[in-house]
Amino acid sequence: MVDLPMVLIMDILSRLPVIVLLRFRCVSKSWKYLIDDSDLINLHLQHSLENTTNHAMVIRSSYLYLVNFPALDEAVVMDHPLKYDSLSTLVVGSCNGLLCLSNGEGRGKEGTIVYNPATKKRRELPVSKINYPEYFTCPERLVYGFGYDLANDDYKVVRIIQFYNDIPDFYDSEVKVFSLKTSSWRRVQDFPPEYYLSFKRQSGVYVNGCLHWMVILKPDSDKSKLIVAFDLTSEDCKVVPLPNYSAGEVHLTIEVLDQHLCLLINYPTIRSEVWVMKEYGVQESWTKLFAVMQGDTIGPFEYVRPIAFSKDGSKVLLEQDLSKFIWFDVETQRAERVNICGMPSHPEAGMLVESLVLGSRKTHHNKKSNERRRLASANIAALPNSSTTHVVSGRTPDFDNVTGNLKKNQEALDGNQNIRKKGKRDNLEGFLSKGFKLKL
Amino acid sequence: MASSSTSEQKKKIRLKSADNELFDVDEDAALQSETIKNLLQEISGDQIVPLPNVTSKILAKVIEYCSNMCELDPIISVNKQWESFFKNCDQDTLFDTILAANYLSIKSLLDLTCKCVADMMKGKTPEEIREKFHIVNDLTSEEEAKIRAEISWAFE
Repeated sequence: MVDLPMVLIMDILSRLPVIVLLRFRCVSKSWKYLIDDSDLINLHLQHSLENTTNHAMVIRSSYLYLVNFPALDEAVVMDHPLKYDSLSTLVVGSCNGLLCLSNGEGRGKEGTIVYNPATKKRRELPVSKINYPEYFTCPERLVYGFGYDLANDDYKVVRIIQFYNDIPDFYDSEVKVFSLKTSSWRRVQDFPPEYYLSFKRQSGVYVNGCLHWMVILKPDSDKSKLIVAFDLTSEDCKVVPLPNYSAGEVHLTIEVLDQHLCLLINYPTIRSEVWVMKEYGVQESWTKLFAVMQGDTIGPFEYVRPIAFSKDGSKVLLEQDLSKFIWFDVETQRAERVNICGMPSHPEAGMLVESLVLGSRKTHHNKKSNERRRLASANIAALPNSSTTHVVSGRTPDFDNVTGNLKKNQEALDGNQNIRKKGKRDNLEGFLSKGFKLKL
Repeated sequence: MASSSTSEQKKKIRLKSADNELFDVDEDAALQSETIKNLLQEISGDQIVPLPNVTSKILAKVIEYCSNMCELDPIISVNKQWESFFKNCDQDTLFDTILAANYLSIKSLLDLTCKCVADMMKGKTPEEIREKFHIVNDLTSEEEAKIRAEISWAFE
């Protein structure tokens, strides 16, 4: 009979699709406990991100759609709480399996939510009133962003509003942060007054714990463009350097590609370049990945946007002119149109990794869950421990010296296990050993 | 270059399984295991490397895998062959290989074998999982019904 230790069972489960894990929650008490545990949720997410498994493309059109990635076979209408008849819900952002969706600043279906399409769990954001400064009746810029604050293990929605007009000195701004942990909005430091958000409704691009927006130094000018990053932990702004690109009439936009900050430099009627910042914050690490020439392999275009890499990294999925998707081979420059069954018109795409985040047991280590955890470990300690290591009999004397080292080595391995790390799971293992085993 | 490498005897490492069987293995194959690599730094010269957690049956398979990985064939096709082997072997062998790969710290083998078990589980119902892995269902029927009701769409 073979028993697998808990770390290996978690390893195996972390390779399964979310829907299968949801079904397996009713195998037994300990399976439910394990699948709801934040350790497994994180391991599952890491595995999916590193191996490009459990990925989907989210298409925004008159409805929201999900398409398996990289199969890209069929677009299925996403069932979500803000779904209205043909009201195009805004996808504010996608992070660790969660989508921030918005129909506006109102209540209920007119509002904003954080939603996990794989588990169908959701959190509604309370309404946050806009405080209009004197002389202003509508905001000039109102943008949202959604991302993960690693240091505080919290998901945050950021809303930035800028008020200004043609009259100099008539400027005001408001920055508010919604924390999923506290479930409330909080006003933070104002947006730096010297930067003007480039686009009216563009959502922040989440990379490396920061949300990014293109800004300009003067309203309505195309010159002096910069990238500003809002740090979700410190909640302040900093400038991210741009690469040195060839001057000319250019249009700059930012995207996220494979968890890296990506800059699109469009030289209208000539070409569109795709740059990636390989090491976050380091200007020299900006690398031009490829350029798509006008009228070349894909014919004339207004714009192309990179969505994702193929699994082997040789191709990039491009969205073109709100009309179609193309697999573009970076080396050969060959393009291949993607035919998705049931594809809506005017598609706008983003990526989603399916995860168990926002699952049934709190992912966040707030007071309540810490307490529960403490109680759980008290129970665990009372239960008999499982024996998960193989007892070796018939050891010969000459082994002793070496097995001593071996034990030391194993301890060293366990200590900074790069293969499968142990941890507080030893306790969990005691508890789970009762009902959770893969035995033969 | 080629002639010098063929004339030179490849260095062999001697491994000893839990049931005291000895295996002479090419060094580059043996070094795929981080555990063996670390052990070799601890012991001197031509000593035997004891692997008291791995039986000869499993160790033979692991060595075959490691040797294959050192060959010039494209890794992808070698991997495919091993994947089909693990998918068709008995579960005891598969689970013992997972334990051995974890103990010996051979990441590619651990990935492959864990993936095989995950693939095996994918299409199964909770009842089939219980049966296959000898798990006692300790949920009351009310509890189970409640969990199922919460995510009824996942069972459609």
